[in-house]
Amino acid sequence: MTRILIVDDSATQRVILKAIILNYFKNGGSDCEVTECSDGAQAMKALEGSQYSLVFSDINMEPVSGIDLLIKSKEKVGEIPFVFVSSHLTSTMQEKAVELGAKHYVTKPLLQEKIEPILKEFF
Amino acid sequence: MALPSTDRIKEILLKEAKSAAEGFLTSGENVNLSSFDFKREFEEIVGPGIEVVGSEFNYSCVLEYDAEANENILNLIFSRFPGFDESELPEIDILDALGEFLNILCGKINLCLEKDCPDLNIEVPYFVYGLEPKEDNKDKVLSFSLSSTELAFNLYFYWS
Repeated sequence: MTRILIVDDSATQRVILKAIILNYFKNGGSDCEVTECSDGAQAMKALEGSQYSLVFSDINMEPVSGIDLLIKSKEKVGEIPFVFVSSHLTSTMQEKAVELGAKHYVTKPLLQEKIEPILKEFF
Repeated sequence: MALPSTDRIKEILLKEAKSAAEGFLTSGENVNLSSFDFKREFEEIVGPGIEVVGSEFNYSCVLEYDAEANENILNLIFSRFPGFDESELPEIDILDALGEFLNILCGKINLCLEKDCPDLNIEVPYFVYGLEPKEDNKDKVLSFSLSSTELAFNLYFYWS
């Protein structure tokens, strides 16, 4: 089964993203398990405990940011495709995300037309 | 660094608040946004707010809403996502939902100001009880009416 991790300190954004992902897999006739984490530290534990096919992560989070999560996850569990979601992606942040190997970055609001093409690329 | 003028701030807000509301609060392009003269006491304004802090320019946004419309607002935000599980609605509070709207709005504003104010940082949203513009900046307050067929808010923006 496909497993996707969502990391965002906003419950609203987690619920929206989860709804888009589950609807995509339901329409495709396949199963997907979505795990939600509200910060980078909690997400790091999830990544160490299970295997995920894709991570959607917010960037601005305390105490561990999305960028720090990507760096730490590379060190501890290896390469996992990351997609950053944020309300404020400056050109510096976008460059940093690409440099670190993030597959995509998406600006909020999260909409089906932004997320589904990314899911299609992976699944 | 050239700080944005009042006219420039107003122009950005009129464009970006409409765009953020259409992307997040409603499913259609039916949002009306207009500025109105601010004649109320600062202390009377309550609602989710957010501060954006930079080395040369700081601003705050507060969204005033009808507390009795909580459930309606949350339903509007989530009902357009077919995979949404309604049982999760009680887990979401209005501050988080409207705080995310303000977060998105400030992200859009910051992108517009990126050249002039590249170091703007969006703080965590919180519930504001009364606007608190600094004493010498009480003229730097803009107020907008944000409405569609389904919802109505007042948006306040002040800066220093």
